[in-house]
Amino acid sequence: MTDSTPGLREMQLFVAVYETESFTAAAAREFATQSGISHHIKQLEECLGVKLFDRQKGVEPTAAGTVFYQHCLQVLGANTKALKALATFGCGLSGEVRFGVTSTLASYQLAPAYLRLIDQHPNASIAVIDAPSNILIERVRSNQLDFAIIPSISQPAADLITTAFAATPAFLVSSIAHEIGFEHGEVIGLDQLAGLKLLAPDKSEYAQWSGLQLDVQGPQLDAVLATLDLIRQSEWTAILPGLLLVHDFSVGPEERDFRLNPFSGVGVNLELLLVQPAKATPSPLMLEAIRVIQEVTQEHIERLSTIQLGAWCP
Amino acid sequence: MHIRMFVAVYEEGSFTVAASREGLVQSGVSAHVRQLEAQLGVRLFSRDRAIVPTPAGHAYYKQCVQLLRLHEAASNAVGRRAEPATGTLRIGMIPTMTRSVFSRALRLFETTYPNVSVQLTEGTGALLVTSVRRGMLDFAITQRMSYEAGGASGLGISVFTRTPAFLVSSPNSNLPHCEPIRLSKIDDLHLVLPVGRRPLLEQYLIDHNVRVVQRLNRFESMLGAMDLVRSSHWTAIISGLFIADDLRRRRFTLNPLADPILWDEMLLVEPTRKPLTIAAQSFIELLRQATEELNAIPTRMAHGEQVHSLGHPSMSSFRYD
Repeated sequence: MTDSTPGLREMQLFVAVYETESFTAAAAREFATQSGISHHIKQLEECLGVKLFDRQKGVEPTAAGTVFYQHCLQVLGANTKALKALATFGCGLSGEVRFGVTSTLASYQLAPAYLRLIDQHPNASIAVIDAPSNILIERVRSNQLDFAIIPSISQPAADLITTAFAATPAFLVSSIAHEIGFEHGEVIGLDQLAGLKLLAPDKSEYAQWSGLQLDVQGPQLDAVLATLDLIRQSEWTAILPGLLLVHDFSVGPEERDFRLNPFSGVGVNLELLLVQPAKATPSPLMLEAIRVIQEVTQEHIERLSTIQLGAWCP
Repeated sequence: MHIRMFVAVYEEGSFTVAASREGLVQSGVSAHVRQLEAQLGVRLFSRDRAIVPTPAGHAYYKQCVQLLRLHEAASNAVGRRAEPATGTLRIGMIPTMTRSVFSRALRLFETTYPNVSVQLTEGTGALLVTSVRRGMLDFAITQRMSYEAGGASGLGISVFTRTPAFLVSSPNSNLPHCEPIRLSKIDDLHLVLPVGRRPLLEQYLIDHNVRVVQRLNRFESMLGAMDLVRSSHWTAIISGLFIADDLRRRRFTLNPLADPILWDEMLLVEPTRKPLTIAAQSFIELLRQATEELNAIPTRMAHGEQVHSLGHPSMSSFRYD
């Protein structure tokens, strides 16, 4: 210790002696022995090269001791602050989780799930990405992602575990600026689509729409933003998962861009799958991340079902 | 055939990738290259550890890529392929371009070329650049990025446009909507910094003394970032082109970065070995027009001009408030 600067413990002991003006009382306060304390103070004095207490008259601080005391208080105060700053991180899980979603979940479910996760697990490091499903699968396989949530794919990879994540209703989406003969929220049948300009569902993303057999046309847009923009500005329509359009379900007519129509009967549904590597054992944080994104997704699907069941009124 | 394979290996830096790009087996590609080397009597690649072109390889590539380009142009000049009005146009774009620009251009394109089918892929710059090099896209528009190992080899890159960057925050943040702001004046900046644009943004933050209280470095989703910004204290720096349509409504608070303006450059990326088809050239021209139109208001705003009517020319029938 002679060559280094005094440690926090030495400062704490010094402060105790200074404040109690007694080695015995300081020892009791700091759960130390008296000889231990006096040893520490002696080392401290050697290290600083100056006497801190005048031991002739009891335990009286020297001028240097008083100056040092003020500084010690500041140092110890700063240390308490530093510890306090960590306190909020103590709760929840720690570690790392990396996951990916496609644009279906990126628009409205990713951010709330992310905010919930960092709020409940402030010490966890969480990395998220949105990308097409083929890229996500590749990254799960190469261990760059712990899991991904993708729309059902035609050929699930044999080396990955795939489980059902959610089934989400799809809607006919059209621009409110173009009349197509339906009111927003009206339940329609698939046979009523004849005559509409219907965009093909993005082939790489939505290989399997359960209950859907359609003759579609038009440009092939592997791009959710472009699809929505094209619909907004033209007479093109598309069948899209409602999860992409949560905003338009939540706002009044003046803020709405799109007319949304659910399908009658079993409707059109999109299956979402959870994909994870077969080998690795999921960490508690990973399971928690899956739980949270599933929770948000379910909440949104419930919101969508109010319109689907016809319970929604304009 | 030899030359095409040599160019593929040179651009991809790998026999395996070159083989999959050209639809051959790896041994086939290396046989082509070996035969070419035998014919020319010179080594084109050193194969010690990695595939590195020799000086002769570099010189030969420059000529070969021109040769392929001329060859392609020659076949396009006659017969069925000279007909611009059919076939498929495969375009790649980053979200900045797909959010508003693309469909404006598409609607005009469809009327002129009703028989050309358009395929759009949206993705990150890195992904699009690779797809252009491998011949999976006719062209792509990406943001300025750093080209590392593998570099811009095989790619023709030119500046497509530049657009001013905006700070995007929630509709109830205290910032004055549409007014230029200096980031260094904000003392409570929580910023989402996606990987793709981080070098550009970090440099701006350092150069202009911007203090960031907290940053999110691993949130790689443009769609997710917009949702995050809308509903929390997080903010993001986003291209004017991306948010041009949001200026007239209040889903976000939008402020152009000022003192100085941060220009976001968009690049047009095309394969060097192939000339653009006429349909591709027309589409690019329409994209330029749409971009210029959309970019006008964000740009005026960034220059501190008061833009009274936020109505877009083609949007004049739209409601604004």
